[in-house]
Amino acid sequence: MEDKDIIRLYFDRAEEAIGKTQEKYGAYCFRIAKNILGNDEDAKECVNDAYFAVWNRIPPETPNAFSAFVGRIARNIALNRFDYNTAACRNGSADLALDELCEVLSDGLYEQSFDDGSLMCAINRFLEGERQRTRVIFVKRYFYCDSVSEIAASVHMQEGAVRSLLFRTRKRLAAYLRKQGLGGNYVGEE
Amino acid sequence: MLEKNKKILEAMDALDERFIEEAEAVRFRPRRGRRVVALAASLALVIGILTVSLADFDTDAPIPTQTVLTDYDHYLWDVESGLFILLSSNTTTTSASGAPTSNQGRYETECYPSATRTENATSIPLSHSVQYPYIEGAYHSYVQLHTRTVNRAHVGDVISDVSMSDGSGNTVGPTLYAIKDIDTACAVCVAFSDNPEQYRLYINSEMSFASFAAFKDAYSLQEHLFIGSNIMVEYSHVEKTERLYQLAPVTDIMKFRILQADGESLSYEEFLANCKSYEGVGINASHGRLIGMASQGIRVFKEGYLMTNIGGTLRFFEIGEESAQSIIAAAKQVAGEEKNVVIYGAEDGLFEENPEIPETEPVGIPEIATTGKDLVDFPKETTAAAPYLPTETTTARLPLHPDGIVIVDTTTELAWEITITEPISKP
Repeated sequence: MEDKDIIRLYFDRAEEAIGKTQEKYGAYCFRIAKNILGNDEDAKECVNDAYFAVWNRIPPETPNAFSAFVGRIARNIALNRFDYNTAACRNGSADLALDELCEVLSDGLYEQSFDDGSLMCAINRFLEGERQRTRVIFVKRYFYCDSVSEIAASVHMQEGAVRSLLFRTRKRLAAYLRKQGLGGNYVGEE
Repeated sequence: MLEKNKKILEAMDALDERFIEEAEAVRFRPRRGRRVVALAASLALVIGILTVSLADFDTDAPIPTQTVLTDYDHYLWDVESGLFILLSSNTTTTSASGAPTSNQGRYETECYPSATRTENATSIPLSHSVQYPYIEGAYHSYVQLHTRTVNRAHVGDVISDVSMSDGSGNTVGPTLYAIKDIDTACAVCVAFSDNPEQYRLYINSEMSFASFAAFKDAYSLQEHLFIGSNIMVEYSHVEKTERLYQLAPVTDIMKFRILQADGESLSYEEFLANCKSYEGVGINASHGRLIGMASQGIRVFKEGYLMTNIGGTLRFFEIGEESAQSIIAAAKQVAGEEKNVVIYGAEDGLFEENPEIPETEPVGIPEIATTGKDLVDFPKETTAAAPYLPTETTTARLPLHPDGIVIVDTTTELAWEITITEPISKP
């Protein structure tokens, strides 16, 4: 079913809207949640919560990109669920991915640039100028928190090549952020 | 999860939804083939990809003001798989002066558009490094690699305050530094007062090396050797030595991948006897000339052979079918746009035997000189009746190491790295 038709089901308050969403984006949301939470049970609960959240938001919202809309909701629910105060251990994929991105970001401008959204605006502009494959891999790694092996399989590249690409991209991002006056640490060797 | 990571994770929610959707919707084609087993042969086996950085020249240069996408995707040779892997393209940016720059990964280069230098030179302010490129005094033989700077982490001790001239008697006084892990007899770097954070690389043009290996060692070269188009290696056929020196700045940027090869290679006739199919690609080596063919530097055949005249003689190497076909596939991607990549087939008749083809005489490689130096002219092609036998120093655009193969990339975006597994053994 097309996304626009699924959205229309929401507007019609048809209960099959959730079923159709689950059918089309269930695995997608589950992957997002699991990358953040690290276990199946929590991820499943998040996905169910995400469906409920989508139901409550449409209408009045009319998302332009339904998959991104649903994915974001699932992601945010997973973030909210995660207990950062008691999580002494790292949860694998997400932490590793974000550690990489941490390298790029300057500590000095960390809080401000995140709070006022300037950093993400800059990152979006940076990605706009990148090649599609690079952008896709970057988003898969740092938004979806997919593992390198998962990314390599999905884009049909060697893991080493994916790592190299991510490294070079982070390096370019750092340079770009420095240009924008948003810091951007010098990225070390691979 | 660390607090910092959490913040990043939350902030990434503001990622453009187009990108989020794209990452899920886009599908990429699977690659053909996987690993190519590198075969060890008793006859000298060619080393794989040689990766080099000239002391890791990440520059602290001023940040470019404009980003422009390139036209081609960037192919990088993956050693493990023995195939070209499509990566992102290099992003061409323009510097504060308006000159385009190219990020090559481990270090950055800056190239100058022809319009800047010949048509609108007065409209773009030149830095001291450009205006005063000549070192006076003890290091006068050193030439600037104007497309390279040295990462400050690799800058060594101060050597002295030097005098730099514009060649017309005008001078400035920058600071000369050593480079860590590189003998000052080979290279130094200079920081000019108008940009003290940028360390310009200078190489001793009179340095001689008995072998390519010695050359690599002197500059701490690791694997891939990058040489700007304004650098030439002068090879003496008589003394069997190389010299590195600098041309005047040119606008084209060329990347060289030098692979060392040992062992023997087939003659052209011997190769023809073994080659049953003619599908392949030619990659222009900028004035290279293969015997019996149009100007080509490299020819790759789908049966797994690579032929080149770079190096002064015609050579054939067996690189394996998967490797060859990967190169061909990559070349076909850009063949329509990249004039230096040509697709050949049997209908071209380029493999017809030519009784005039000499067996062993080296093929002269025409060159373009912009230094104003006097250069030895040598014929653009040889015949059995008039073979080319250089008796004095020959200068060319391309390294003429007798044991090397130079893969020339005539754009800033293509990366041609070829692993030669073993030379073709004589039948």
